Amino acid sequence: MAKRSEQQKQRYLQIVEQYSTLIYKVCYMYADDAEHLKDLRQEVLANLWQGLEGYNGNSRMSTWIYRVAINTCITFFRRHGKHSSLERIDERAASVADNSGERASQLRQMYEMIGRLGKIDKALIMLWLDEHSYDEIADVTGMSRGNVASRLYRIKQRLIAENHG
Amino acid sequence: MDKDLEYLKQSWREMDRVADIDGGDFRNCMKPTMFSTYRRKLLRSYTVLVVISGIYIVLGPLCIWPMGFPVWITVWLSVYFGLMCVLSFRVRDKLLELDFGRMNVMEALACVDKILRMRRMSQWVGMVAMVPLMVCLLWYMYGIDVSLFVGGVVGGVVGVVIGLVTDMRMRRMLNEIRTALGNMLEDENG
Repeated sequence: MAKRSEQQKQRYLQIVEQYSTLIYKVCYMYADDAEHLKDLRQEVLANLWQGLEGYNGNSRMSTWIYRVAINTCITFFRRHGKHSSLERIDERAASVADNSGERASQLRQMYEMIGRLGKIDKALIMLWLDEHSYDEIADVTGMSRGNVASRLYRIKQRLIAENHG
Repeated sequence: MDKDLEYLKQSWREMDRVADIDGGDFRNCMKPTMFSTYRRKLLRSYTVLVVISGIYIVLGPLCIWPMGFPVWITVWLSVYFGLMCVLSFRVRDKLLELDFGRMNVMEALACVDKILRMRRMSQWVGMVAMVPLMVCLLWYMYGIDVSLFVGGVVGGVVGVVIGLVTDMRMRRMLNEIRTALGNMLEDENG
């Protein structure tokens, strides 16, 4: 690994501290258990450190981090099978919701459905939930804007149907 | 927009409150001795493979020639290591191309797919070249010294087991990546 200046290290620390929740949420979405979550986070952080030199600012920092995090999570090769408990994302989201039990239940259903989505669809819905435009989502995923729109439309329809079903 | 989806967005933002933040992790990533990504480990392994197989193109035949092995086996051994050197070099080269920051998801998946396929191909080519070579080597080892033959058999069995286990993991990951890629390409092409 190339030696980095103290300035670069500080820059890296600032960036990951600023976007730590984003990184955590992406990894949480893809993790099967607590051990997997830890591995994913470490892998993402390491890939961010490695790739920071190559970041040329032609996209938003959050878009760049999303790209690295999603690519890492989608291609991560789990080498060992040990499992440890992790609160499912639907349970965690429901416990965070500070509304009535009914709302929490609806929320749980929607997140359960998101949890069952394929890796690419998870990425799409995550980016949409984080208020990224279709163009930005297309840029991160490499899909056409039209494809992003139609896939997200299908996912949203499923979410609504799940909620009212 | 449906109220439920709006509420979903809101709840996603509220998840920030419970995101687990651990500052200790960040610093570990800057110390290569403490933490190494899977990609970096693979790169290191393939660099070692390239160097060792490159050395063994000459060293392998030099080791077995004095023991009385025929010339064609020593040449075959040299060709085998030459082949493995080239294949490992190609995989290493592709690994160096992989850049999660620059590539979008589709490009990253395609690159990883290519790396995994190249790895599998080099494993298969290696096996096809090595199995008959091993049989011939063992045959001659048996003729030279039984203990040499036993050592060769044990080494061969261990190698096969390791190879099979690695191949199984590789195949699983390859299938996963290809499914994700296939789904994306299918939708792009309508």
